[in-house]
Amino acid sequence: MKLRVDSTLALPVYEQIREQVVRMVLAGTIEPGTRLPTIRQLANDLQLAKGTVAKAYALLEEAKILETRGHRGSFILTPPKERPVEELDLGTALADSAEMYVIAAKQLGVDLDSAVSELRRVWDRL
Amino acid sequence: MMKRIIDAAARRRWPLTVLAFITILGPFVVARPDGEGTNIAAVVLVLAAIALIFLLAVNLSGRDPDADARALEVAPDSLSAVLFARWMRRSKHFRFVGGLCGAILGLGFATGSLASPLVGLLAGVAFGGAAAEVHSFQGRPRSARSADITARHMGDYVTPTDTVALAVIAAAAMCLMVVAVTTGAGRWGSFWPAMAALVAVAAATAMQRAVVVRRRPALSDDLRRADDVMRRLAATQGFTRPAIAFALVMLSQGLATFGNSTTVTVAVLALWMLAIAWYVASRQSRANLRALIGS
Amino acid sequence: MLESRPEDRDLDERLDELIPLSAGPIKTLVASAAVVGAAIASTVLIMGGYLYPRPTFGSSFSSGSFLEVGPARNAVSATVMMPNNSSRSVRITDIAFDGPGADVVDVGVILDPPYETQTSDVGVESSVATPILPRNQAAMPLPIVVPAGRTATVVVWFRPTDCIDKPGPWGLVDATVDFGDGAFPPFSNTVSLHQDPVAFIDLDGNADNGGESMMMQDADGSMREISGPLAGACEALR
Repeated sequence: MKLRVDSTLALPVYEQIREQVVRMVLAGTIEPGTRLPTIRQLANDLQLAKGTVAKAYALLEEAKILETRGHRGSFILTPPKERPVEELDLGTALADSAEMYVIAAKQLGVDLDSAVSELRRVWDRL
Repeated sequence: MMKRIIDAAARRRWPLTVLAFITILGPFVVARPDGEGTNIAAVVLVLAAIALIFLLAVNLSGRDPDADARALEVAPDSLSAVLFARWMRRSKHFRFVGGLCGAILGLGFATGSLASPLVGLLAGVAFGGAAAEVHSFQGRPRSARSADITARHMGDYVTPTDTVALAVIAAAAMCLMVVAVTTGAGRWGSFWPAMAALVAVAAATAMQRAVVVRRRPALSDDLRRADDVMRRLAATQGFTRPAIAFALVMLSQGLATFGNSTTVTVAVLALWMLAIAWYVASRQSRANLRALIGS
Repeated sequence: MLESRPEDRDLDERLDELIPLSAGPIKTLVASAAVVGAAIASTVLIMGGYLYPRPTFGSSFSSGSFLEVGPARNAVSATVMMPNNSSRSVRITDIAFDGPGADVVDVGVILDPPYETQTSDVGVESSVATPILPRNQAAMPLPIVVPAGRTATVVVWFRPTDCIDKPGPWGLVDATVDFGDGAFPPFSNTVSLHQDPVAFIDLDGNADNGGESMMMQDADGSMREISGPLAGACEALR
């Protein structure tokens, strides 16, 4: 599974990480029991400060999405039923992202075929 | 024709290097100016030295004509082959330059023993292999970055044999150091070699961690798998195995200060044999590469 | 050389992020030659004794020395040689002597006598060494500077506490050296002269210096054979 952060966005980077992990957990693309990368590894991979990643992990632990078990690492938990995390509408989430992409493509003057071709290229790359 | 000579020279780096140095020093030994003209032997040696220096320069330029073939033979797909070929060239070149510098510095510190240049060579190969893995991000700076959320474990990149060897060497080195400190002047000669072995183990372990956590952006599955294999090659063959070989030789040097009884002599020889075996296992032979890539 | 396909420029960027592409043969050659050159230069500096005091390297030659009874007959002297093969003068600041069964009374150093050039009546030049004085007159106290190319003879006066010579090397000297007052770099080094001990004692308890027995010069100048340094010293100081 992939994470993407953008430091030019208004949303803080640690919030972007938290949001995307929650999305993946709710969509079931990360299963409970999955071990996440260490803070150092994720910070290296995303070229962030360790403190930023640590903050994201702390927020996820607060929300009972993540549990750190000492040197063994950080593991995804089953979200508690009694405190439902924000509801995820898969359809709306995907539509929002698609709308962003289409608007950007039209602003750049790209036709539909080129936009789809670029989408395929990036899909294959990731 | 010239290309064949150059490729042959690139395949025989170490014999060529030793020959080049002997030949370069030769004229100083052979030249005896006589009253009747130039000494023919010295002229021949000078010409041979020039030719060998040229071929040595070929090796110092990083030429490796067989890297592509080796990569294609062992890689599961063409994408991996491109990545492996790059790593093989880079690692082999850094190890060669490191080993050469280590051997030269070993000569400088030599105290009448042939072991010094060999020890220097092993240390240099390990250092060069580690230096090859220190490379910073090469791409354009971007505000948006991506990454895989898959955890990378040390055990996926380092073989159990190497891990156990490092632990055993560290324990043996610490025992030697304790013996040296507690039993006095007769054993003090074992302290610094044991310390060198310990430092080699610590450095290799630290570099393994650095390679495992080194930056990796989000990749397609096949490229991610290829990168995993490349990191495994780097963390084992690149520097860990030469470092183990160096540490074993250092332990043997420390043990040699305990006298020349049969037990000590056998132990010293055994450590040297193990060191040679680990060095051979670190070379980029097809068998070694297949053993790591297949595992 | 294997490369990704021309249409995979994006792939090249990904590969470059994982491992850098080679800088090209010329740049690689220049960088590598510079590194090897630096190693050669460092080695020359090390062997020349420029980076830290290193007067001896390689095997030292055997001193082939004899023991000498002091004029007051209260101590015996032994010698170990330290040639300064480096390119800089070094200063000996301390001597450590490992000779079980003996107490050290004093240490000193004799510099090998300088050679003078003399010209004969027919114009032939030759080198003539100045006469060697007896040890007790020639030995100078520490610290002492040993110029490059000269040899220092370390003299150790001792009194035996044991009269039995045990097998193995006897009389191992460690010399602490630096470059002298204010000389750069300010490193000191302990030079082990263990390859050239005072004596090798064989399993029979006799000194075996390369197949030759050990000699002692008495206070009256006469030379005699001795079995070992401790046995000989005990007999001389009885």
